[in-house]
Amino acid sequence: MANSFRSSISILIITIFFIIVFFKLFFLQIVEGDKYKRISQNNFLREAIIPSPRGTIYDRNGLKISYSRPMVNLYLKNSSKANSLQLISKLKNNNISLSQINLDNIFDKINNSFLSQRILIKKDLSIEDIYIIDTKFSSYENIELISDYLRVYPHNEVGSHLVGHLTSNNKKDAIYGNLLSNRKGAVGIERDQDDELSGTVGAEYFFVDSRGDEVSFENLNYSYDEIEKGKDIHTTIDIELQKIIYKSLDKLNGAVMVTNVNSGEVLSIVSKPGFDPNLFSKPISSKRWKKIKDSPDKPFLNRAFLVSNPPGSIIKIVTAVAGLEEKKVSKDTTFYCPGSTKIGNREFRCWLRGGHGNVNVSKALVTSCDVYFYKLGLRLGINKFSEWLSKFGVGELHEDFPFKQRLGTIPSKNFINKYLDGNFYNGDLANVSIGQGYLTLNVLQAHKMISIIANNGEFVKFRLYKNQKIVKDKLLEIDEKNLQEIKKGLEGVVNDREGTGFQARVDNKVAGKTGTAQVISKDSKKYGYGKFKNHGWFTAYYPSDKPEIAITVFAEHGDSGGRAGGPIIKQIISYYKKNYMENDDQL
Amino acid sequence: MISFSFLDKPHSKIIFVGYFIILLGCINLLQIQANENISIYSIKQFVWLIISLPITFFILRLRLRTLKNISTFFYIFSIVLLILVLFIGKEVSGAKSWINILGFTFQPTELIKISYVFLIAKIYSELGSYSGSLIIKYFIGFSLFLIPFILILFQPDFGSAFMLFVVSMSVILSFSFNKKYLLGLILLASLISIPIWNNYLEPYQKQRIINFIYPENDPKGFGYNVIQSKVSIGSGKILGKGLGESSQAKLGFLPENHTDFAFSVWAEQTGFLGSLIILILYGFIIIFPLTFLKDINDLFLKVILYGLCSYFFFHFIINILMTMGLFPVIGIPMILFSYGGSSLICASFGFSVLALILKDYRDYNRLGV
Repeated sequence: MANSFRSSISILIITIFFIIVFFKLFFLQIVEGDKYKRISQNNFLREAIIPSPRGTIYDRNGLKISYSRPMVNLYLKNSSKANSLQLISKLKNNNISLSQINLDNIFDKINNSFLSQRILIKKDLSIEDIYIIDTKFSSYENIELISDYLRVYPHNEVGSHLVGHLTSNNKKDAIYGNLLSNRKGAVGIERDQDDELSGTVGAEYFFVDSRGDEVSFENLNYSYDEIEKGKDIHTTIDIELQKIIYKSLDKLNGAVMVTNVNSGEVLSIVSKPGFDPNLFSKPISSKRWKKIKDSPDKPFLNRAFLVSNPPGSIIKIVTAVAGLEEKKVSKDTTFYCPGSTKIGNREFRCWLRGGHGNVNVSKALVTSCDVYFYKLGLRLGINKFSEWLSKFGVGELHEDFPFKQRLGTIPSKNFINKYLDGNFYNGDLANVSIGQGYLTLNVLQAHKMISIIANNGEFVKFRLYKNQKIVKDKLLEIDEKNLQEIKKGLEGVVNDREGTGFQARVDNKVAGKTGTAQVISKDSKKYGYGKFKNHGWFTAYYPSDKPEIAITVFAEHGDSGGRAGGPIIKQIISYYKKNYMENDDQL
Repeated sequence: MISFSFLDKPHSKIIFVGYFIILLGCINLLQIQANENISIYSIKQFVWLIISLPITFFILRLRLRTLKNISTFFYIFSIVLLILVLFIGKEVSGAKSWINILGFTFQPTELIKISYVFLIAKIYSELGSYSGSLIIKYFIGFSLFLIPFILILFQPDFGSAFMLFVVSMSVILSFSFNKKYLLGLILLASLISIPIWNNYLEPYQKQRIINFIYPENDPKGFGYNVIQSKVSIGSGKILGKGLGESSQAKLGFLPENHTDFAFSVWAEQTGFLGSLIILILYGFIIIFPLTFLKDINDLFLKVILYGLCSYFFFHFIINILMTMGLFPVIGIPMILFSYGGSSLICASFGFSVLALILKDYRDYNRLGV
């Protein structure tokens, strides 16, 4: 091989390799340089979060319903066993009580974690403890004080379903482990407004080596990320009213809803029994959670939205409106009630054995005469009736409302075809006309129904937050005269001598309708006498001349709507008069 | 003013560039440990630099004929060391490759690569260049290669064995080139490599080769080194993080950062520009001597010059490709630049001989060595 050939081919091969290296270097350092820079930072940069407090939930009067209380925790960092023992004994010598401390646990963590991970020594230090640590331990590099935030519900179970509670976020901080401020809203307003309420955590950066141990690395400074506190939420809730209602339910379980019919503002939604939402501000043991969940009272069940029951006589409002509007009866049409009527070959009884005699529509509402509504229902027919139920929102979802709802059933064509093979007999129709049988609804729907009546057919959607806009539903057109007739009946329910809701009487301005939902439960025999009782409904508005608020009471096994709901409504209206209407009186 | 006129002479350029690379290597290693201002590797490497200086001056005063005369002895001496190391060698990370002589630990594998070149140069030059000797050249070249190769495999040091293989093959094939023989060789090599794979390769070495072909297989284990090396190089970007700012080395993410991955640390500290400087310096020390090849008449000098250049080239290129993930991590440091006494002494010996040839080759162009 010639000399010159050998040297040039060698140089050529070498040059090719050098060009490959050149381009690969160019690619790594210039084209992909930013990517590798980021990876190299991720290698050694660790982020220790600085917890941020969740926003406060206020009631309409600025009272706190739910807030985050700062608590200072003591952590051990970058510590060896010997080191930590010495520190702990020094802490003890300075009268810092470490009674719950588990040394084995701490040693275990020291052995099994990177030094940069913090180990919790004591939660929620007292002011005195903080002072001692601040003054006497300032030179110790191995301890760290961090503020965390505990969610507090000062009214305990009173608003539990409405306000909600927190739950674990599954976001364990790499440095501090479980932080309470890391929890997120699980249900209720806490969940609905979680994005607003949760703040943005801050961060402090530090450096670790390849073993994950913290190292100081001069020349490289990374700034802190400031925390951002969560936003406060101003609700329309009146927490004092909520408390009064909860108390007034006394031994009864059930749900009560109070709203302003003109603005849609929710003043109260009570579901009893409640539970203590504070339990969920910290990790809760599954045993304890199960115990509450499996308790026969079902405290986690939101009875206002997640339970649907037969409406009983309160549905007669819809039956009456439908009858008048469809011109099946006029306000003067009377039916004779002898105490029962025969439909097909079955005897359908009125609740009053002796009968009501001749009754027109308003009298029928006042006395809740079953026979009148059997007959009216038969005249109306099932299709017209369920059409009107839908118009009132029965069987429908209340949109834009941040709660899960169980819709219940109405005997619509669909339902009849699907579940009853298309067979719907007159007996069935009579039953649903008085709110029994194939008709169930939840408190929210019952409340919407009375709100529509109170506001003359114009329904303002329920809203929970002050900054929410007022949204009106399409006007439900009801003839003015017919409406007056219905209202007259509803006023009579409370104020007439024969009225079924006289227990709610306050000042002749309460109007409403009572109802009793028959309990035909398979397991009712298991319970004592009280559990055999029927559910009581009472839905009302006030004041009758110019309605402002609507109230709906559902009393589980409350026997009768009037007896169970009447006194509760009375207390609500007394409170409302005192706190919302006094100025009017003075004028 | 310091006069750089001494750099006019080709041999001075080689000496200067060689030591300049070593010096950059020392600077590179200055601050690679988290807790020390100056790393022990940098100091030790600098001491080796000082030690190698008199060797260079001594070599530059030698006559080229002396090199030819000591070639056989040089080779035998290396072989003896390779045998000795198997018995009295110190085991480091699974390979018995270190020998202790008068308090210095030394890697005989470094020496054999150079002494092989010397002996083969002597034999080839004595055989002359007529074509009938081609088969003899092959036979001798292979025999002289196989003895140390097998001894190194016994240690076992796969990386060094591979380097000996590529250096000797490049010499044998360049100076006794024949298509038929080349094909036969490739066939033979592939036949031999199967029993080598099955019997001689350590599991970790096999893993490294498998890992090279499928690097995404094992990002936490064997692939980790390469990934972190690429992160080091890439994160240097254009201008680098600055000397002493290699977070990858300081915080322990990049293993072997003073030996196999010394270049990655340099690239991280000095960026693309620094990497280019290294590329240019090596390009010079490898290519510049080769440009003299056509002017040299004596075969002994030609083989030595060619062999030494290929010695530098392969050590450099395989290491740099390794750090960039283009070649399996076979544990080869970057010659001159990485930390390591034996390698540094042998390499400075190598470029000193290159310089000596560039200085004196004209004296032998008529009569030979």
